[in-house]
Amino acid sequence: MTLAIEHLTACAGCENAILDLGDSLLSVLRDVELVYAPILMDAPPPERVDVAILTGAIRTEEDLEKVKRWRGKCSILVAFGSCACFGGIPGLANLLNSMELLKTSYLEQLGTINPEGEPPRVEVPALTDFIKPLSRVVKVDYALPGCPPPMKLISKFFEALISGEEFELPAKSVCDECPLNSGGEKVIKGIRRWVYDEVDLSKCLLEQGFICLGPATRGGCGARCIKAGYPCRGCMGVLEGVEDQAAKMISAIASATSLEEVALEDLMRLSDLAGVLYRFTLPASIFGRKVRGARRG
Amino acid sequence: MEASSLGRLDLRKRFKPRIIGFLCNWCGYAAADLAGTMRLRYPANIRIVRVMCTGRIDPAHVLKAFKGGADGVLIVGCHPGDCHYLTGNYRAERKVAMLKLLLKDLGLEPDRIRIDWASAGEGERFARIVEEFVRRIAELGPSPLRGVLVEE
Repeated sequence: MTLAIEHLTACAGCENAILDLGDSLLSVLRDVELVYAPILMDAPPPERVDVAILTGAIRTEEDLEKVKRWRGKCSILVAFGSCACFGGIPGLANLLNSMELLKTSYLEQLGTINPEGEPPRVEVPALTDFIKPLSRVVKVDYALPGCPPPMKLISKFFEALISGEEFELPAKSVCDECPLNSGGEKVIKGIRRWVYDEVDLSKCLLEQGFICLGPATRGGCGARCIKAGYPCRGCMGVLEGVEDQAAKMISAIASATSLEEVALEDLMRLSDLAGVLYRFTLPASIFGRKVRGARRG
Repeated sequence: MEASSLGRLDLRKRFKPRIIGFLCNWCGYAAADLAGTMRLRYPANIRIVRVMCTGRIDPAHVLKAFKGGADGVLIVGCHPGDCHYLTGNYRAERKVAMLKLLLKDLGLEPDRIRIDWASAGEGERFARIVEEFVRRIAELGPSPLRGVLVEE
């Protein structure tokens, strides 16, 4: 079985996660021949492969071209990592359109020195208007979410690939795997902010009033962020059968807040809801992007 | 008045807001029913969806209504303290508060969503709420989502 790993607009974290498999990667490589992976090794692109793993988001016309080309070259296409699956962190750029992005980066941003207001002159592939998940452009055979995908999941995926068994993502939520989940009904008694307020790492973070996306996020990561003392940011994407992560999380917060101890005004003071609740999934959400001033043409 | 703003006013006049109304079975919907029985006149722009309780409304329902081309979403439930299921309307109120913040981030005016209360005996109040809301949406103009997201 031949395998290619191609990156789109990405940070190389996904490739690192594959390398992190360590010894078990060696046993994978007994059955799988890695023929192309520009981030990891130097080899010319093949004519055809059995499996193509694509990492990163579709941000440029080149990325779009690459995705379509690889779809034609491979039998199994894998969207690897949150960027490929839902747009990921770069997907937050969908709160601006490509013109606004260029204006911000090359003219307005603090520290930009560009007195003539010149646009960049180097020939690079043009930005697409907005970031889209791979599955909205081509048929995706398998999606491995996560930023980066958890090692256990990658191993399981390779095992399934080699043995020919079906591979399925865990359907339960992060809360289901969380060591801080007592199993009882959650009651939020006050909204708190991560940077300012003291945190008790032995109790459910959401119950303490920190916005933890566990209830709206697919498990499979073993609640690794929470185990490291940080609330879930939702990188595994939305739960099975749910369409919109922010909508789901808003429901969860509304049902869990104590009516006596949390005032409506406390919830109205929450800031940057799109940034926090769609941190990894904005392009895959119901709207997909910011609407005003974002029309085509 | 300048010609351009006159033109815009003209466009506004022709604009017929499309409103999706989520009404709870016990109060909002009963109030709408009463308004009908009383033969009250109120704008016909509202398409009503009956739900058992406003607490059942998922924020995704509201987002999808907007994506489908609604210019406004009106939610009417029982008065505070009167919910058939005790606290459903309070939960709905909280969802709407957070949805307004989210809509703003996504480029939609928060006023395009409204939650209000009308008991089963308040047909007039229901008619007034619809009238007010339609007027507000007419002021805001067509939703910027109309036909934009659908094509993609």
